[in-house]
Amino acid sequence: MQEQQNKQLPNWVFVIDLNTCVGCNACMAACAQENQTPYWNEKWRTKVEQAEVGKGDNIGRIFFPRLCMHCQNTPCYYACPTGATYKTPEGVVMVNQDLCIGCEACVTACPYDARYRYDYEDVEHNKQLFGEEFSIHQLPHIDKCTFCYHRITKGLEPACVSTCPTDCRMWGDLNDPNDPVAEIVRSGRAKPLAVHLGTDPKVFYVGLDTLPAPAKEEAE
Amino acid sequence: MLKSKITRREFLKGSVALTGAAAALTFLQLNSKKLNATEVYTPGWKIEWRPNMCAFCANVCGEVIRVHEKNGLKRPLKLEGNEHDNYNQGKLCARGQSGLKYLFNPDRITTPLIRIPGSKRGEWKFKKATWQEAYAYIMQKMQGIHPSEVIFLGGWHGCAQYRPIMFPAIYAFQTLNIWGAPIQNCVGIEHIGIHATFGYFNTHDEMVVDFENANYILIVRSNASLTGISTGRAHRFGEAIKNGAEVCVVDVRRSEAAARAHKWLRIKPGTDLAFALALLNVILHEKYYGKELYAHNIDFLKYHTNAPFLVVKMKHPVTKQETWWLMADKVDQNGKPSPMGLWYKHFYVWDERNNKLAQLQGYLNHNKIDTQGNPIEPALELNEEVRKNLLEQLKKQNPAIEDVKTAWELLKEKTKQYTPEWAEKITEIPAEDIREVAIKFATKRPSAVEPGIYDARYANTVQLRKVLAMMQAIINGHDNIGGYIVGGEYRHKVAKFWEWLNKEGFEKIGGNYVKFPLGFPLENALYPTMKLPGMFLMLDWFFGLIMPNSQNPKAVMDYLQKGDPTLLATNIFGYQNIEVLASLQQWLRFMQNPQKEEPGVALPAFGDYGWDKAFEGKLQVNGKTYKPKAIWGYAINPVLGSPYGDKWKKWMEEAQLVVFVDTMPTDSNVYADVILPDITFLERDEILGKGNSHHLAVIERKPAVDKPIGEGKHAVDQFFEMASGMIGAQIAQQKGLNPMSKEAFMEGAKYFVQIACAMNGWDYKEFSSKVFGALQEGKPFTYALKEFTLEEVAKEAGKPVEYVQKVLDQYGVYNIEPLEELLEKWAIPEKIPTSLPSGRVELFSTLFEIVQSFFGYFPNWDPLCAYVPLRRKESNLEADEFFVSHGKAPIFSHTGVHTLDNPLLVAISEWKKLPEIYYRVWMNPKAAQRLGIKDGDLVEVINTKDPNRKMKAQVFITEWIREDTIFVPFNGGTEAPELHYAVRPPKAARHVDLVHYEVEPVIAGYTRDETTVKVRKISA
Ligand code: SF4
Ligand code: SF4
Repeated sequence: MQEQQNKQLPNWVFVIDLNTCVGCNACMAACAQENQTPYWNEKWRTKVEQAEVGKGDNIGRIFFPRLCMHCQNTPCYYACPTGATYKTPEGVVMVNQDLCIGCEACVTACPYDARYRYDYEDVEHNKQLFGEEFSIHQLPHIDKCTFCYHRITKGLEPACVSTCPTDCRMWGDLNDPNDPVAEIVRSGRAKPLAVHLGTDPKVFYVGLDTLPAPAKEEAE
Repeated sequence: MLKSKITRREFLKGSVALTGAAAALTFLQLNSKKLNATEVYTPGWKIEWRPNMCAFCANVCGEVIRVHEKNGLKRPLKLEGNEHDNYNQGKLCARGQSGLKYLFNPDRITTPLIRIPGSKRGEWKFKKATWQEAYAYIMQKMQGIHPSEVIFLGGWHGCAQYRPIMFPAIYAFQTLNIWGAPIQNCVGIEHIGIHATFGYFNTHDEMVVDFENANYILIVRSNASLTGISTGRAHRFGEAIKNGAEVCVVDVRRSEAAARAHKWLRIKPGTDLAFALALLNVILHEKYYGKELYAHNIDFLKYHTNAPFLVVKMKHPVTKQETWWLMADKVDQNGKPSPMGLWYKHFYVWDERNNKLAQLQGYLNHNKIDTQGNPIEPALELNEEVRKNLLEQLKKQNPAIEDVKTAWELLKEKTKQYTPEWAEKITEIPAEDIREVAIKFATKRPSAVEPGIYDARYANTVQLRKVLAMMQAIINGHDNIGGYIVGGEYRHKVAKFWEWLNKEGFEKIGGNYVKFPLGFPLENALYPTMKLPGMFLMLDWFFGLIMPNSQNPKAVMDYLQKGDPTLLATNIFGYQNIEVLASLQQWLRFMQNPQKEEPGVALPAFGDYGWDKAFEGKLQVNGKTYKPKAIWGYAINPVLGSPYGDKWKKWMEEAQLVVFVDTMPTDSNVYADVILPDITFLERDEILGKGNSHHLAVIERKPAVDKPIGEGKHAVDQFFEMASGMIGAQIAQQKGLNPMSKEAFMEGAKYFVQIACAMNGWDYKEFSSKVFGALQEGKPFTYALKEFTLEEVAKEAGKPVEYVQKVLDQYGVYNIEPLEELLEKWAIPEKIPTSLPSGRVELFSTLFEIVQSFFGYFPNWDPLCAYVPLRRKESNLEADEFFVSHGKAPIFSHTGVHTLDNPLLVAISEWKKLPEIYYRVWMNPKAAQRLGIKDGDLVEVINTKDPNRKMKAQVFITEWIREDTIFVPFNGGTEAPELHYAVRPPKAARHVDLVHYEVEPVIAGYTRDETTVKVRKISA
């Protein structure tokens, strides 16, 4: 029974290869357009940090894509008093806009800084941009990455993955034995961030080990 | 290695495993997931996928628009890359992703605008007008203005997307004073060295490196063409890294590409040519030559390049300099032997098989047979005895010959001096590093060097790119897996031309060589000029339209003996192009006084050389002042894009008429009398060639909205209407009709359609019936053009029109033939020739030799390679003095306000650290400390070559840049009024203000960065 269910439900993983990101920010643009997020107020579901690491001739330039980790041991979910934050059967962490009261308990609980307020002003501005009819944010709420749940359940990749020019962002299913992206996770080449927190993320990074020490610390 | 994405290799494997019609279908239907999802977001929101093609930059990535429908309302909500486009393979960059913000940008110009009488240009005082009013206004102002007094400004939009209509429109207007912005700014100077080697021309799209299959990747500057960003190229680059390719980036800064490098060589700015020459030195002279390298590609060098061609040393007939020439039977336009002739009838090699001199056919893709058809084996190197005998034999025929070698030997001899130790002193890159890169490039094959667009520019860029292209040729890296691979459209053009030559062309031309013009005069064109591939289109344009008298001995003699360039500079319409005239006049001054005068420019067409003189009333023809009166611009922003930016303002203020066609208010069109609104790519309905697809492909654009926003009109329709109207008015005058009548317009339209058909080789009956049929039904010209294109594609593909339309409806792209099948029959130069006079890959450039025959020897156009020293201070910089380099930010497009004013892109650019990186001047912390400058301080940057050129900007202190150099991101700071999102200077550096006007002598490319600058702190 358990086995059958596993077969039906995908076990999605998001893999980021730090060796190929070129900091083009296509992902940020794609996400903002797809999910109608308040870029006008500097709020993003996904972002790419840039940092200088090292010194002198060895100075490095790092691009570090970030998004919600969709932790399976889920601090925000535990913190939410209303049940607005929930997990889909596949383990995708979501916010029900209707139930959210904006108390920000989840924002505080999230160790990855993945949540922000989608407030009244943002809702109004968004309606102006996309039209009342086509605005997918009708009420103020706490907002975050959904892995593009509306896309992945229709067989599409998340918007950022689909557009990432260098395929630094990848989308896979651990329940598919032939999935090369899942294989990167299974082989241990990709690792989650801040393992010591025990959050059990669904987002994995390739190339964390080769990051210079200060950047690695920062990432953790 | 992606789950839901078949990699390109598998994609191709899948397609060739099948045959015939089945192959075409499977080839198309792979992977069409995106187009199948019918509901995204909420149940009940139906979606419709409409194909389109991004036009934020010349990469023109295929995309699909997701249009949602809810309660009877429709709205496009998202763009996605089109996976069927072989170039971008489903990807879009940040600009591409933000396309809908451009479509709905409230800053757009949506009606024709006429400047309010009494207002000054530059004030943005316009009143809305109807199309009728705008056209009438223009026609009235154009009265009495001769075509020679009109100048046209155009960018890549017209050239890369609408050439089949734009070039005929230019011909119809008879306006040949054209500033093609990309030439001087961008692809022209950067690519002429590559063109001269491989024969392409419009390198926006004619070649895409197959990085994905490369083992070793070398990137010299070139950030913009790759990670700065060209999506399809960045995509292949990303796959290459995943596949384990090793990457070396040579750049003064940690660019996005340098961030990904295994080896980053922080070279002294502008010295890359010395670096490249030393690479060639190692490849040709150290132990790798003659072993791995030689064994790998000796056949390619012998049989498909001009490396074995014999070259002879002789004095230049005019300059008397000692010069190396190809040993060739050169002929003039009439086929008569002439040492100054431009056409190559035969070449010569030493045949090792029969131990004798062998004569080769002028235009051919190989050196396997002589002109008699006997098999030969050309020698790459001569033994000394052969050389001695050969020289004696040659001297008997022509005593002026002083020496003989193969081109390959001469290349080896020339590169001997450029040792890594020599280069180390110039470049500050250790000799050992240079050796390592050269050896890896030559032995870790397949290797590829990115050809690059849009980064720092120096006069030596032409030779730099030529040397790197030769390296690519020497390792047999052309039309080969992991190397340079040309686009399907270009390959198809070459093949069709080659087919024609063999069928009837050679006979018509009178020999086994190619001579121009083929397409002019139009009435008795031998081949439609617009169908000529690569460099051939340019040569046809040059020798047919711009300088038809370059073959006229009288014109050349007048020029040389009487010092009168008028006849030589006279174009087909009987007047002189400003830049050609100014350049020839300058050459004469230079010849009289080489110590004091600067040389002119060899190939000045499409550049703005001499335009300052013309506008300032200082250009004379036969004692008369030659001054432009009207300025027309299409999708171009010279005030923000040209080093003449400030002058442009003045010139426009003084002109009688200034017309711009654009979608947005820009720094330039604020000076217009009339602005005609174009529609965005997201509102167009058309079928276009997909030049940068490795497959032979066409792509469709369908509008995102059912009606264009506002009253904008497709630029192509505007050009059709303007051309028809103006020609019609002329015809009307002759026939005594009302020049503004419909009748007059139709007469003009007929004439224009004739020109378009002649230049494109289209059937007049078919095309005109489409055009006039459409007009009768009240449909635009572009509607007819689309229908006609569809039929042409169907004919070419051997499929019914309905089939082609169905495929396009479903996939947006019609991949007519896959790369592997194309390579099989049309690999260049293995199977068909290059678009160069010799048809071979040219190490010894015929193009540069032609230039040399006209103007004497300059290292800038050395047919093989030469070091071109920088014209700037090299050492002992003062404490506040720096070298300078510039480049792009991946989220913006050059000078395009459609990205600079895009709210989503601006929001990204303002996020966290990004404004520092994208808008500020980069300075090394050591230099900043020396000058007491802190992060974010406001400084003034002054060009030491022209202290009037200066800009204010904030400083970003970073070790990503060398201590002796500052890096200026390109032109964020637009000053266009009426833009409500764009970031203004000095918050965003306005690079154009810093650039001095100086051009190099090959094609008048701007040498923007060949100077030093001083930095002064203004405030914290
Ligand atoms: S789209 Fe991909 S390559 Fe570009 S910044 Fe985002 S993760 Fe990096
Ligand atoms: S702007 Fe980006 S998506 Fe658009 S054509 Fe250029 S590279 Fe492609």
